[in-house]
Amino acid sequence: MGLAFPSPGGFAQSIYQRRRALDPRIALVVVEGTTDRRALLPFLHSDAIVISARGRSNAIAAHRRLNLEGLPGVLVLIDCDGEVPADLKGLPDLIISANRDLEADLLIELGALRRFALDVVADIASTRADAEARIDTVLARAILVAADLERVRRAARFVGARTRLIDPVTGQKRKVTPQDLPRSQAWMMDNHRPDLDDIARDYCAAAGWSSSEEAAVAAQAAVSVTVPCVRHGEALCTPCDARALCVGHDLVELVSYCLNALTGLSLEILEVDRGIRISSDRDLVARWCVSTRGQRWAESQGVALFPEHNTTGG
Amino acid sequence: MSDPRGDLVGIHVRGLFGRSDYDIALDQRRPTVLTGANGTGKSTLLRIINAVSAGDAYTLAHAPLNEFHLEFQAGPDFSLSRHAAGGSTVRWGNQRGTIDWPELDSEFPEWAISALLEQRELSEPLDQTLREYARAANASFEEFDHVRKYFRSTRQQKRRPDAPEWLHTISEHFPVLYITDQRLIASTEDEGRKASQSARGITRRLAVEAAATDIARRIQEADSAYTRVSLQEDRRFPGAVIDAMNSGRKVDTVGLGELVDEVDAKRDALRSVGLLDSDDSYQPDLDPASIGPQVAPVIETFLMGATRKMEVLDDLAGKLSAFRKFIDGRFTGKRAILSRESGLRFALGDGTEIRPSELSSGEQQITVLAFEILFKTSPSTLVLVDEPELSLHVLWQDTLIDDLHGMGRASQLQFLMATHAPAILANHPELERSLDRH
Repeated sequence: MGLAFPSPGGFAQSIYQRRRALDPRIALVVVEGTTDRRALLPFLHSDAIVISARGRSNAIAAHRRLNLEGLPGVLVLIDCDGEVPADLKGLPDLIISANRDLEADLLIELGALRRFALDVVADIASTRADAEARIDTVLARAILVAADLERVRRAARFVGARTRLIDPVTGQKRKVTPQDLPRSQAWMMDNHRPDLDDIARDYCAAAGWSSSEEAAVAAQAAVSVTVPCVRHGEALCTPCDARALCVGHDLVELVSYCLNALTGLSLEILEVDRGIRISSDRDLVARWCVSTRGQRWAESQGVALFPEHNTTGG
Repeated sequence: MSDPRGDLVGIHVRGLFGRSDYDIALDQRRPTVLTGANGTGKSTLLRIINAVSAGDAYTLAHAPLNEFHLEFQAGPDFSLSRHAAGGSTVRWGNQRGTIDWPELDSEFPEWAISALLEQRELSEPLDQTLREYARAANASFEEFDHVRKYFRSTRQQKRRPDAPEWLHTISEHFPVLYITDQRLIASTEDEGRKASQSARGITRRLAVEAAATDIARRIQEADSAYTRVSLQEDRRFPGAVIDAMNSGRKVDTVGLGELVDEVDAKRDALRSVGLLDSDDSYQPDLDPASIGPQVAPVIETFLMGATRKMEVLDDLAGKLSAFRKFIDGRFTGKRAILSRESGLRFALGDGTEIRPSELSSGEQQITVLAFEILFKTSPSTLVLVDEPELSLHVLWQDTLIDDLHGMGRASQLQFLMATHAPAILANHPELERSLDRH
């Protein structure tokens, strides 16, 4: 539920209206979700406008509409977490994230999560090496739990079980995240990999599955861990899991649990989220594939997408 | 009673329109936005919350719900419970009372009830409204006359709802500004009417023009305050100079230079928002290094006095500056001009001045929103905005939540809005509170 454009066409029309009204030198960027928007904004030119489409179909509809109208100046960034129509692949004004979503790009590819976490634990670590060791453990565990959580989500989709819940505060449907799973904090603090059945059980309680759905999801998830990755031919391949399975926001939530436990702080997820956004290495941003392609697009359009100092790698 | 300002944390409703229950958690740091299909009760909730603050017994007595509870973080909660037999119990902290509204004649025609609902106050002059509704309903003259006589008699008796006195004091603790979806028309009291006339004169005019008049009045009042302080400072000046000269204190040249710059900058800032004339006050084309040690105490005393004079303008200057910055940052090809004579005008690119009423509908909407929020609130006011998106281009809708929040941040305003515009929430879905799920 929640307030949304009645159709992808409605959203596309709103983008069309924005583009027509805007100064042609101002970049207009469409991303899939609000977390993508938050992840991206700190790296862009202050004039650039980033709009959250709240769904891939809206983002793609906007791209098609603008192309149909022959109206350039809109860059669409979509997540690498599903099928992209073949005719949209390789287009200069439609860029797909390197990891599962733009936020995961920021966290993993650009090292923002590690950099922020190191800052947070610096006070309690005896040496820099100690801090790095602790954080590497935290990140490895977060990737592991986030990947397994996504396996359960995908299994749920496969068997047709719900993957979303109605948020009790906003009244909107949203994805089940680690904060909805009672044992997610414990999984982050344990030394062994959480059981997929346990994740399915907690997910079941959050999303309201039937017991048969829970069993089917757990079974399907168990099958998925045996599938070897394409790149290395290994099942449970951590680098490929991180790239293909980890949802950015899941990582943020999971890491924030550990940081609080390690430091005795009570950082809220939003605070961690904000901290991460300002912790990315700008040199890495310039080499990020989304950044380099985005810069090429911006130059072809004559719009300002990145601040001057951020475009050296482009 | 402790002060619950600015910390409304929850709205709990049972039996809205006889069917819906809601528990709405308000965001404490950012605007909360109600959404839902037409008829789910968004505007009704805003109206009832406003009625609590305003002590509006009529609206509370007629609220279409069974239970209503406002939960505050620190202060006492407010609740209303409707009795099955009529009337309502209201509670505010440990205070309790009942609201009973005089029953209308059971034979009262539907059109007259509609007229009453529009007018809201039994003591208001109703003839014109009644006539319009009676005409639209093709009511007979006898029926119209019967209703008119009823209202006249109730007015003579000054019939009011039976409500506790403390209801009218809630606004002191829980200030609310309600910006309705009819915000382009302002109702203002006509101060020119004679006191002997019993009825208040209510004038309806374009809200932007009313805002311009209000800004002019505020500048004129600030002028008066400035003049009063100036006279005081001028009286004190000779004595202050003598004291400074006799003290033997050496004036720091660097500090004096900074003071000159400070006064200069402040004076320019005040002029830019229409608060000082260009030929007003001291013109400090001074090079502090060239001021001799004997004259320095005199100059310093003068500058300190000038600073104190200008301090009385600080509050209004801050608001006018924020208002102009907000407007100029959004309008294309127009800039706001503030002055004591006309309050608010707009300059086009070629220098032509236009009245606020000549702005587009969307420009008027954003002007009224900014004016209300900046000038009609006290610190920690809860601002209720019904359909803030009206007439606004989607680009203005994109940033509206951040814009309003930014304007209210300094005064720690809390916002609750109701909207149908997806663009307003596109970047802030976490602020949405949907009434559709019930």
